[in-house]
Amino acid sequence: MTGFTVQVFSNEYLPPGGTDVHAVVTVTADGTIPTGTGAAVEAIEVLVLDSSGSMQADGRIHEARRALAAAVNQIRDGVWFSVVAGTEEARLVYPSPHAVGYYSGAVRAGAETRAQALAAIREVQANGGTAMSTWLAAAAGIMSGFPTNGIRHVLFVTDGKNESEPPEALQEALQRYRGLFQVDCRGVGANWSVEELRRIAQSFLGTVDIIPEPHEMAEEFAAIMNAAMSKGVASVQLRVWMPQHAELLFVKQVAPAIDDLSARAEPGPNALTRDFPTGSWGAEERDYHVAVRVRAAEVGEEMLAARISLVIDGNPVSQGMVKATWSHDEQLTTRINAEVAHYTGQHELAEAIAEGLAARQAGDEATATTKLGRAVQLASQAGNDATTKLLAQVVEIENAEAGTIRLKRDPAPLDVMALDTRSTKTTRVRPAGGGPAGSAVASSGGGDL
Amino acid sequence: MVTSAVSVTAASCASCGEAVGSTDRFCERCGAMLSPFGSTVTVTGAVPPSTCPSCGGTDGVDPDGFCLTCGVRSVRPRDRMECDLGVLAAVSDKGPHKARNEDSFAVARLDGGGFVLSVCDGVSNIARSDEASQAACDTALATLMAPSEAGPSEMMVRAASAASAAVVSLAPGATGAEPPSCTFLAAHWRASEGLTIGWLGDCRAYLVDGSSARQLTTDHSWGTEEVRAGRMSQQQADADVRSHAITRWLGADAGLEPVPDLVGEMVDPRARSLLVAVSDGAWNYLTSAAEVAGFFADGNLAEGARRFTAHAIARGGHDNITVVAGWLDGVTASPNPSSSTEPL
Repeated sequence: MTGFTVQVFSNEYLPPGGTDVHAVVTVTADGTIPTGTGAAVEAIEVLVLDSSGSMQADGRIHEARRALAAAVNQIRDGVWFSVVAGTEEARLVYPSPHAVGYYSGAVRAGAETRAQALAAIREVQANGGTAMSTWLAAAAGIMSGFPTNGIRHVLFVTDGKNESEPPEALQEALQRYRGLFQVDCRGVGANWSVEELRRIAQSFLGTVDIIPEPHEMAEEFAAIMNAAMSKGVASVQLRVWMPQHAELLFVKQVAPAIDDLSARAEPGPNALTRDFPTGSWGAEERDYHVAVRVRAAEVGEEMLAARISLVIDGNPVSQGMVKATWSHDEQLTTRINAEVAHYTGQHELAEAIAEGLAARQAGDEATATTKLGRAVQLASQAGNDATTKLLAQVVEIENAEAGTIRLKRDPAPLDVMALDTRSTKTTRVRPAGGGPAGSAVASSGGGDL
Repeated sequence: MVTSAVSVTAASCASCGEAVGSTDRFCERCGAMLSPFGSTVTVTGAVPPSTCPSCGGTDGVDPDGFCLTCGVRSVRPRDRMECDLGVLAAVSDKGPHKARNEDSFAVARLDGGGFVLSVCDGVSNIARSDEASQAACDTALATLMAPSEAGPSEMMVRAASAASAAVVSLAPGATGAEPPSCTFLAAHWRASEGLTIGWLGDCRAYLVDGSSARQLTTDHSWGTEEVRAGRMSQQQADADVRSHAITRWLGADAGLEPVPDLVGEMVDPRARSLLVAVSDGAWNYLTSAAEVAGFFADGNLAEGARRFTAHAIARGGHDNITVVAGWLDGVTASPNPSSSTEPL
């Protein structure tokens, strides 16, 4: 029961005059709340389902009702919850204001409230438009009275674009409610906007993914709920200390998916620290890539380029140090850390896919072929089989190692969206091959005799 | 046998007087190193300057010696560590030629008499092997001090295993780099249970009786093993460049479960025998085991450890040097709280 552990992977050796320090910081949580940082927290879950007219197609609303029921059944006893149907406005499906223990739009999960919720969900109809800002506003309203240290999660499901309101309305809602809760977004079918849902997910520290077929909703909802219910620690901050005059180049989450946190910096307890919200945590591992530009020191000097700590309720619970040492020894300074190299490659992969798909959309086949070819090459090098498989639905791979491909003439729109949505998912560094070096001989000390 | 740490002095830093927590490893105020379990340590040369030589900042340094303003390390607590617990004394020195001190030690007295100690030597030129030796020492000591029904030999095996896990868990440095690793030596002494030593690698333990001394451990080194196997004479082995290469160590590349070699000795606690544990940077410059006794001839352990260290530095000091010495005294009967404060 250690709560959080932090591991730093970097090459600490810089050549004379070197300034840029890159480190991969692996944070492992065992799902327990570190001692001294408060008691177990309350949790609230809001299920937001698009119930606009388009949901009538392909029996989607029928599958959505089934999926909502599966989600409700995963909610732990005692967790506050509510179900919202979204059109050009948000409507509370459950609880009704007359439900037992109704509080500001939510009730505690239990046998009775779950049964009531399932009955209400069966009545959900699909008609009307799509104005997502009102859905987020409803979630914010329901959670407004909830303890600030609680776990606040929203499942946000749509099958369409935000077309019943001006784009500024959604943008304004993202600004206003940012950080108040976490949102996992799912798009059903191929008529929603990856960019739109990604923006929502990133604003609310959540994930985005595609559910290609309506009948896959139930399983996906249950899995999301399962993960949400396993979160034991609310509102964790990644705190970065840097020396004076150092410049933070970026802080990115790089696993399980790429998410640039740089713009989300909040002031830390002093001028040299910055805090980055990371949302709630269960038993899980996340990797961060931190890049800092420091002032070069003399050869032989050592510097603490960054101190990375995990902060809960203002209390640092675990930390790792990113060091820099200046050296003339090129053998040391030219090494690239395996983790840093891996995630640099994964980031390039995600960008190649995004740029390749954008070029393809714009009809620029030459650029699309180059970029997606590079993506195939990178995914193959990194052993990212899931991404290679997604790419293979959109391009014909001739030689993965060389990155030679042809664009498919008519790939299924669902496959293109799946590639777009999942392009930021990363693999972890492959475990080093080979067993223990039984016959290896290391040299201890100088051995100057 | 249940053992626990004894609080040696009031929990305050010997360098600056700041109150320190019982589990603090370094003084939060001045960065001086504290020995584990609440005892205090004088650290020579580790008192930080009032202004940072690099940036002129006056915010002080963190426990590892990094300036709180510019991040440059102005103090390296590890460069010279000294510890004097009376019955036990230790010195660890970077030496004039090494970039950093990759040796470390951990020491503690046991309730009712006796002590535990550990000396570990980080494998040279591998990233973070200084952290490896520190983690190994600290973990070994904590394991040896944990309450247990097991005997000292069993505890020693567990200590090596726990130390190994601590070293393996350190993140690797960079692509193609070897994982952090270190040698291991730990000793447990209690008059009623005798002396138990476990080791992997080439740190050594000597038993000093008056003016004589003998080596209790056998190096896990290429040369020693060749000689022991009868494949080479000592002279041939000494002449071979591989002679000093260690064959066993702690680390991710060390092979299977690290079972230490063990030696046990029943020592008469009235004989005023002394245990001296050292890293190879100290023993490299010995011409005979008996020389060890000479450093401690006046019975002053702290001075003896300093003399031993100074000797190694004077003869070249090409490696980090660590010397830990402890009196093998105490009472053989079960520890009795009223008689546990035995004069040294």
